[in-house]
Amino acid sequence: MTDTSLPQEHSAPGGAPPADTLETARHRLAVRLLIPAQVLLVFIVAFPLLMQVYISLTWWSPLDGEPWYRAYDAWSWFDNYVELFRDEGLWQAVWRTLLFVAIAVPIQFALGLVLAILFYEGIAGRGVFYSLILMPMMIVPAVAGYIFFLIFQQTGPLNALLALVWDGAYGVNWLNDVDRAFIAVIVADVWQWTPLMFLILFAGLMSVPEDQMRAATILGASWPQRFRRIALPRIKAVVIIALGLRVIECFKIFDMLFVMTGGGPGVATESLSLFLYKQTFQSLEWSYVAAIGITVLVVLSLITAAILARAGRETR
Amino acid sequence: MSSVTLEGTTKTFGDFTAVRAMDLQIANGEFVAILGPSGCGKTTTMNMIAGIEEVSAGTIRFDARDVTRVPMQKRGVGFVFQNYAIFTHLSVRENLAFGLEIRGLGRGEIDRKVGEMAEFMALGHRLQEPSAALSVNEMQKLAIGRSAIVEPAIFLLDEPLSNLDAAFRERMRAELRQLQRALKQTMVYVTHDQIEAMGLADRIAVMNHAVLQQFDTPKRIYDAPANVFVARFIGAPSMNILPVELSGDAVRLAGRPADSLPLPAASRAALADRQSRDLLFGFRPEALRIADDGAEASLSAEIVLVETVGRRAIVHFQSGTSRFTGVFERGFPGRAGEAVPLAFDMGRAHFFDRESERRIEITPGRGVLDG
Repeated sequence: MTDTSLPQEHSAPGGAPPADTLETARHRLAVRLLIPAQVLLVFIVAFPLLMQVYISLTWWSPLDGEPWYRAYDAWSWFDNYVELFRDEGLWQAVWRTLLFVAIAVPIQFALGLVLAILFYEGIAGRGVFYSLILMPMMIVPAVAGYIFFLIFQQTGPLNALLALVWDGAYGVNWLNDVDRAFIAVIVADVWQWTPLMFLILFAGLMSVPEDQMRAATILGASWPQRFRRIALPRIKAVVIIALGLRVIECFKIFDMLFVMTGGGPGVATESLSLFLYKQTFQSLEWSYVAAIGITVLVVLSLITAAILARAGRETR
Repeated sequence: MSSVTLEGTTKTFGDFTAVRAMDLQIANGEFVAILGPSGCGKTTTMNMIAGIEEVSAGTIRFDARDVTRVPMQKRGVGFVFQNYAIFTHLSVRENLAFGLEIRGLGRGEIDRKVGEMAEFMALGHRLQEPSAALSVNEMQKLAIGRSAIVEPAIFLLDEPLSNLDAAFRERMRAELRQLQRALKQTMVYVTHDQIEAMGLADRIAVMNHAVLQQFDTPKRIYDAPANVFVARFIGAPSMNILPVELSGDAVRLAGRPADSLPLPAASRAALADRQSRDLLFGFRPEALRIADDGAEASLSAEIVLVETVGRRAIVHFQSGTSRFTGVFERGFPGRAGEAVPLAFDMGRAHFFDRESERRIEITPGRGVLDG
């Protein structure tokens, strides 16, 4: 009886329940409040993105003397994208960037994890070290690059230090040697970004319930066993996020390289970002740069989505 | 399972002494409760036995084995945490198997032992389930099972019932006692709840201010408290402890010279060379009755307040300058403001030295304290 009478009451003519109007009013207000942010978003994200896509489908260049919206005069369909796959300079830059990521991020992760574990176990003087360790992260990357630019000078402090134990130290040229420049840049990046790894991993470790770690200890588990069986499963999501964050950031490395080596010697330390920069401001091939930009965006988005999906699974 | 011996075991944190020169001998298979108010050092004592806290001075032995400096992962104790510390990211089976896998046992043996323990703990049907899905009751069993499976020398339990509601706690208490009997394990149980301690333990170690006050059976702790602290701490409502005047064969409450409470022969002998000012007089609220004739030890007291608690009435009295409580059946006839004659069961009275607060032993063998 009640089952049939209830819906009838609601659909009775002439009387839309007041709750509904309130709901609609609230909805309208919400939409109105969101409009300014949406408009802003259109201008800073959607518009440049669409413009980028548009230009990437033409041969337009600022040297043509035509405004960008007339770029369709030089419509070229997907020529830029085809070109991109043939461009050896680009692929070398991609390869160098990947190599850089593959070396720098694992080192940052390993050092960050060791530091996090030391702090978790409570090394002496951790209050002082805590702020010291986090300091590099606060420095503007370009400034950090400049610090290391000075450190790695042939007559700089590093060689001065090495000279104490080895007479030939002043003969070592760091930033003008193909391999050494690469190492120097990795050292600088590790110095700056290990703190972030440490911070994320330490926070993760601190969230592991202490008495579970203790219960495992009492059951006879050694530190590596406790870490692997109790802590790691709980901080897996955090580890994935930390690694994902650093891989993406590292992939975009620019300012530090720009200051330290300018991509040199030759193109030995030219990352993808630096390559794009040179294409933009030296070759002025803007449509080509747009095509590369769009491609990188798509690839990185896919990778990020995969990482986030994985992290989401781990937290569940 | 093992016996546990603490000898002069001390723990200091800087200037603060958490446990002072603790001597404790826990027999094989015994269920011992460490009882005391918060901050008395009971948890520190247990943590030292487990190896979680380092011992500052003294020794700890399991049977004849000195474990004072043995790290906790090698000490072989079972530990049940207040919140059970179940590995919630693992299944019930993985929780039970944890200690065995750490010890590197073979797959077959692990499966057999886990199966047996799960059967014993009535968790057999839930082995494959995530442990986070267990009820509190099952978590307690899992926590005990996970520790018991590696056959620890002793078992330590840190207030495992304290975050349960009252009704459920009673059931868990009974279950815990049954488990202890079935496992035949030496268990040390830390609690601030005297009812838990009295109900569960073979013997109770009462602690206060880092010092062991008394280590005895629940009955002895109740009937023959070692000192004023234990006397007041055990029993609810707690023991009345009052200053008295002693005059030869009787005591009088301060400010009531007219009412004299004659002492039994045994008490008289024990108090023969005492002065009034050295003495505290203690009696449990249960030792009070309403006097029906003038022949026994009695005094007149005014009723201050009657509280009815369940089947009992807790009555607050004032007599002279002394205030005390008595416990009666519900339906206590008196009302606040009335004066009633009260009789004391002087055979069950206690006397304490006011200086040391230690109980004065009334010569046993007269049946005075054994009732």
